[in-house]
Amino acid sequence: MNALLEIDDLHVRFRSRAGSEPVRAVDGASFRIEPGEIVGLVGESGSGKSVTARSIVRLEEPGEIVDGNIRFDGRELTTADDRTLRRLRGRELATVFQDPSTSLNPVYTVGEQIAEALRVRSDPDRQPFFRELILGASSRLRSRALRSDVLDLMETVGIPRPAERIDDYPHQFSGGMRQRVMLAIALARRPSVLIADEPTTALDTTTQAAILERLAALNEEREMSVLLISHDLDVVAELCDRLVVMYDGTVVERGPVDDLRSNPAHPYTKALLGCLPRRSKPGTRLPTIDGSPSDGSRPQNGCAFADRCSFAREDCYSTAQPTVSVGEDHTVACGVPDARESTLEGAAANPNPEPESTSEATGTATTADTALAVDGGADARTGERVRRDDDPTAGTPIVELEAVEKSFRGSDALLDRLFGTDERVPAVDGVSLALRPGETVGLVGESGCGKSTLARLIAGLEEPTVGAVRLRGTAVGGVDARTDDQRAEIGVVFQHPGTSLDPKRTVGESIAEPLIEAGWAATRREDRVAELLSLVDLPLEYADRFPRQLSGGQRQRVAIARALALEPSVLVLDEPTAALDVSTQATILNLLADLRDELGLACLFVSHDLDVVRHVADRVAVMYLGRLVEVGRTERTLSNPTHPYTATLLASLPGDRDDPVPTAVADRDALAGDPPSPTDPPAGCAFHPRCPVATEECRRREPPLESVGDGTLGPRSRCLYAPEWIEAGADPPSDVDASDPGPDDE
Amino acid sequence: MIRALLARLGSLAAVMATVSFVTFGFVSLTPGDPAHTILREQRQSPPSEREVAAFRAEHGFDEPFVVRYFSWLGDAVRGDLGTSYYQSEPVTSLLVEHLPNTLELALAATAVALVVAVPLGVVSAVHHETWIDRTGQIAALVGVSMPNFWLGYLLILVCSLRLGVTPVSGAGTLSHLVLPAITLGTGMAAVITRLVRTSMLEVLEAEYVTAARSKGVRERLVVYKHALRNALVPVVTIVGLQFGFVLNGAVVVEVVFQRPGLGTLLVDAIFARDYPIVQGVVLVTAFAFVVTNQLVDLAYVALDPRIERGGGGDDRR
Ligand code: SF4
Ligand code: SF4
Repeated sequence: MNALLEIDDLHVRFRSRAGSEPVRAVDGASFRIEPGEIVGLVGESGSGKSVTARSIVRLEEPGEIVDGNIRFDGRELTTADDRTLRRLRGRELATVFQDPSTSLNPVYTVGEQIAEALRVRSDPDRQPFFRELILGASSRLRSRALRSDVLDLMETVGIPRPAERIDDYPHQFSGGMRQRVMLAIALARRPSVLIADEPTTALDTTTQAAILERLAALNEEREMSVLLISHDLDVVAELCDRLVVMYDGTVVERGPVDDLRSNPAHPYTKALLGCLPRRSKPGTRLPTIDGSPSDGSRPQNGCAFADRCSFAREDCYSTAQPTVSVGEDHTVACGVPDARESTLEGAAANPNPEPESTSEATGTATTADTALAVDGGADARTGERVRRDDDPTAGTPIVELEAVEKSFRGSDALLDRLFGTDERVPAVDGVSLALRPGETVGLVGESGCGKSTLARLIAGLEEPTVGAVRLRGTAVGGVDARTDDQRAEIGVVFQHPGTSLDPKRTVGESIAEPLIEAGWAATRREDRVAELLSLVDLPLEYADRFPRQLSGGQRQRVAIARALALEPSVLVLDEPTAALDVSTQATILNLLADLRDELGLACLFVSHDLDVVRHVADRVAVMYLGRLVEVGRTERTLSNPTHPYTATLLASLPGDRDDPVPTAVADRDALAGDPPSPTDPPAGCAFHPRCPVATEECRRREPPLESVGDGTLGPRSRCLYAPEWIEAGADPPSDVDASDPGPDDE
Repeated sequence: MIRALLARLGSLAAVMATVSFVTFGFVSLTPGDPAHTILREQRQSPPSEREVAAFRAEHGFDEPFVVRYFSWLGDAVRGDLGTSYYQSEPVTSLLVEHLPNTLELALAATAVALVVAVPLGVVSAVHHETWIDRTGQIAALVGVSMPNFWLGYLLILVCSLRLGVTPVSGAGTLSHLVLPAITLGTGMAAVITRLVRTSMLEVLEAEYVTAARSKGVRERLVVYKHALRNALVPVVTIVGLQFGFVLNGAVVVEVVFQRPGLGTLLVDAIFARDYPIVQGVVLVTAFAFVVTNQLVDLAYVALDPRIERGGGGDDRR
């Protein structure tokens, strides 16, 4: 069978500064895509998957194809001239990029950007210069025929009310809608292959589910091949016919999706599957991948994964590994039968004797005695953590939120402020929540629901408009109004360590910053920094490095160390692993779990990823439009939700589940649209416009957050029909009585 | 919308009031009694005490400062900026007479600068780190460091005296305008070239530029349609600010080319201690500066839809 798109032994180098070795970004990748097929290309950052994808449309800058072939429909692309490339990009090979907030041009309306693709398609060779410039300058798409085509496309990708939105600019759309616009631009070309580079990574799980579903439907309708690139194997697996797993620029395994998932042969594939939180028992340690992530500087010969592989043998380092067939159309680049045949669990339970501390160290890492010691301890703590759901009401809360409200100004104009005529946009609306010592509360919801604002309120980075934040019983204001002791009680870790660490300071200086503010003497500071570095499993020399010399996971460790500097009793974590690869996420989650147990921390874990929350949290609080809609014990809430919103969130999780959500209300399409604007929340139940089971009553009556079922001890839900959902669910767990802390949470 | 407009006018008025106060104050504080100077000039001999007193009374110098300021301000608002001590002509009509020449020069210089700088900056950025880029960079450096008057004399020397293609001095025709505009525009062009280059380099790295390429858009349109418009946003501010400096530069250039204009008017007035004219010129310049900045804000809105328009509740946190 003739492949539609064939990549054969592709080698891409990154140009680098004179003198240094060029980085081998892609090092002999081969795979193919048949007509109408969806192929998933999976790998972590640095695996070369994106470079490979971009090379197909010859956008490999700043890379350079040094060897190999890319053939589309029999035509060779590596040597194609500009004109051919324009034709192919405009008509055959469409691309969707990862981050829709940067891939749409901010100064042109979405209508114009879609229309441009239509115009290019109709005549890729002409593209009159001045006509295009003038069309761009207009803020309205004028051509009637084009307009209706654009509207059709917007409809196809699921943008509601396209006629009202066609002349809007990208910044007026939410992330999910922007990605739909990108998709429309891609479809405008009626391509035979759609290359989607991490199309949903920057999005919520709900939006992700909707977009992926849309892709699958389009593939079906239009018989369009799709190359779907992702770092999360489970996300793409559902959609794909075949998978290609890349590691350090090479393809390590490829095969039909079912076979590959049930029988992963390459140790890396196994590790990749193993370290997903959704595949582990909640509260246990996640299996991690040892050794440093690929950085393109591996030795010439031998297996790219050898440094991190627990099955590695002598010749793995020196000789090229054969590509072995392990099933129909299923090949793996590993020459060690034991490694190929080991089970997922076997691979995970074959711990590398090397310390985890070097797990993210870059090539230059040296041994660190301090970290070793700590790590030995860390690795010993493998057992299942005792969940704190025995008697959660026992401890006195450290942090309490009392009917906290926070609203922001709609506009910044001076006159608006003077006259007080500005609109207030509520971000958090009447939230009460308590956090007890040693307890982890997971706070979940879509972007824009106010969960980050809530975290900032606890941290004191925002002050409540109404209500109070109490720390050990005392109402506290913003950071400036807090005493030194109060400030020391709460540590904060943000999503992007890159932006929260000062690039011009060394790691040591960054960690010492809170200590200086608290007035610690220099020698004492030094000791503490050393102590903290070992606490987060980083070698001591890292104190002198700069953030840019660290990997994402290492930076996050530094951020955690800084948050712990003043021995807080509370840790506020705002999406701490959202920007990390799955294997790095696993090591960070393990580290956090250890720290929490060791130091008895109370944690507020903000995340949009329910799988992660399920793994780490004792209790979950679900937020929608600034309000809590459901609070309850993690296990119970995430297996038998009492609010349709929680159920829909659960339904949108990727991957095959052993235990699909038992409620009848789960409906993936429900959250396809955007949440309503917080300025103008719907009357009645705020969720009713998107609720799959809403009734007439829901439009009128606003449900309070109430205990469901067992008097004051059950989970609490803000749904009129909560008791019904609890009955509809599976048999309630036997320990239902020891459930939720009651009255003090609202 | 109307409120925004009012706010804008309000801030404009506040700025102008401050400027007028400072101008008036400074001029009144400068040493040297204008009554003396002017009368001596007129009579070619030291004036008598009585004559000086009469002159002071006539021009209101006896009043306290604040009273003088407010009466001057009141008149100014009505368009009456007083009478020149020296030429006995209303300042307003002198300004009206000289302003167009200066404005013409400033606009021409800005146009020259933009026409040269924008393409040069774009080409430098597109051919980043090649000989084209380096040549452009050196040219920009030379342009920035060359003093106006020196370039002016150089141009006169070459074009007017040697080649005889342009007149040496004066104003009125297009050929009179060419050399002054080039003189004045060069420095500005150099600044803008660098700015466009830096801005373009940054924008060309943006994902939406790659996305445009991936659509099959041809390279020339990728650069000029997708990248340039984004790159121009920061440039507009600088052009606005530069326009103010161009008015300053016009003073020197007008003197070099002996072009009648605000510059020559101002210089003459300063030497003659003709306060009303000095005040008038400064006020008009400041006004032009403020108005330009408002226009820059408008240009922003046109270039970048994220500003002002739309807004409210779209950008989810
Ligand atoms: S066993 Fe050897 S060849 Fe196989 S993955 Fe491990 S290091 Fe590579
Ligand atoms: S109250 Fe009605 S609309 Fe709201 S969540 Fe419950 S069923 Fe849905």
